[in-house]
Amino acid sequence: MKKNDINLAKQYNNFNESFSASVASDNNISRQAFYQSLQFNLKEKTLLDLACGDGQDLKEYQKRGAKCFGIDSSEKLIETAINSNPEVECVVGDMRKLPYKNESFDIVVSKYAIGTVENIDEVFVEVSRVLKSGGVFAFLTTHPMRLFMEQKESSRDYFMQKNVSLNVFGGKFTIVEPSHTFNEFFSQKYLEHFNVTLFSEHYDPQSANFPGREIYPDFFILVANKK
Amino acid sequence: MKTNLSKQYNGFANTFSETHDNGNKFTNRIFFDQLRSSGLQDKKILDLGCGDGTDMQYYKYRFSNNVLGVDASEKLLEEARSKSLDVRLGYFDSLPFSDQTFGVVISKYALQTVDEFNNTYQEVARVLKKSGSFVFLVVHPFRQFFEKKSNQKNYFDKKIVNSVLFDGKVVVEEPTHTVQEYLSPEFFKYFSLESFIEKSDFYSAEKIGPDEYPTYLIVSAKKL
Repeated sequence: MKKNDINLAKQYNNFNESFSASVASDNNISRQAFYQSLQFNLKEKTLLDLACGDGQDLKEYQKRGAKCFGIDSSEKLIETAINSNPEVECVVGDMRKLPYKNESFDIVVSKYAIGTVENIDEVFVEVSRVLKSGGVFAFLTTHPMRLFMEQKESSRDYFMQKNVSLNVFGGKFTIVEPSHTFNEFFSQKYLEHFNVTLFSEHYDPQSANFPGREIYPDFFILVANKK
Repeated sequence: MKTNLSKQYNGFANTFSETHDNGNKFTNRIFFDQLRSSGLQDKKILDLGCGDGTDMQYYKYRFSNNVLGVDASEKLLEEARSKSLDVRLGYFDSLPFSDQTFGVVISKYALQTVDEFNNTYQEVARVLKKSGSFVFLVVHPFRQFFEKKSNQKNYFDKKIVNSVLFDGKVVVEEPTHTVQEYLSPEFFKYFSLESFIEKSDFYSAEKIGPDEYPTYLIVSAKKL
């Protein structure tokens, strides 16, 4: 598990600058879908962005009045986040060991990050710990069907965890993520801690610029309240 | 579509009764385990899409004397009646029961036969008592994606697919669905999600290609 995490942080370090540029220009479909799922007042709310990357989303949340915090495992991306937005508090850290006290936040958000760990329950437990009662936990992550469909093996197994290479931003980058099932996202641990309020599946035409690709969901969004 | 679906089950009511009990034994074990942990004891139970009543007999034996069934196929209901079961002809989006009648609504391999679930969810919530349980098992949307069988499959396109069941003994036509149709805003308006289980059972479902993918989905919920 550790080995995988280190690789994940490194892979983002290696393409930091070009990655930021691509995120800014190409990532609009997932970004807009995610923002639309956050149809509530952020004013004066304490908000944590899990895996905030270079902090582009934090700018939006800040504009909407939230008091923003960010955490990411990539030092380079955090450096960019801090330089471009000195008012938010960003730190380097691990989603499974959050450096915050119990019940610190009204809102925890995360885009394309929850699925990068092998055991997602570890993140769910930590998010629940740092959220206030009734607080919102909204995340967007790679859809389990995409993680299944893009396995390169001649016989794929939905229920077995494998590292999958995904082409993102029209094939400009390849990222590696462990595969997950919906069983893992709607785990007993998750449902113990959260009341789901919204679920949606999305297709991103930009990821489908590959000949013959069938149309299946690329990402999903799950919004819940802490019990 | 409603009419076609009830007709197709009328057409093979006899074969279906013989094969589905045996063919579903692995899936049944998982589903009944899930029901056992849902606190159904002595509650008034509705079996939504009860068919020939095989499962109702089990629910009566295992959980409660008070079990009713509803189904759209007259022929299957005749079989259920021959087992002395209390069943009614009806569609999911207009259930022939008054408000807050049941403590539990159970549905196995039936919900996916309708085009959309919002009216069904509203009806199930209506006939359920407060905090009542709703537990359903449906064909997994990923399996329906593979059953589309065309070269350019689209997960989001609603198609009628042939579902090959029980080693090819039965073929049914069903509309495809997405996971977000099951977990729709309407669902979350009426229910809180208690558990979500996906599994594969390639004895009851045709295996398409060399892959292992989920064939069914069990959702447990409580009325808000």
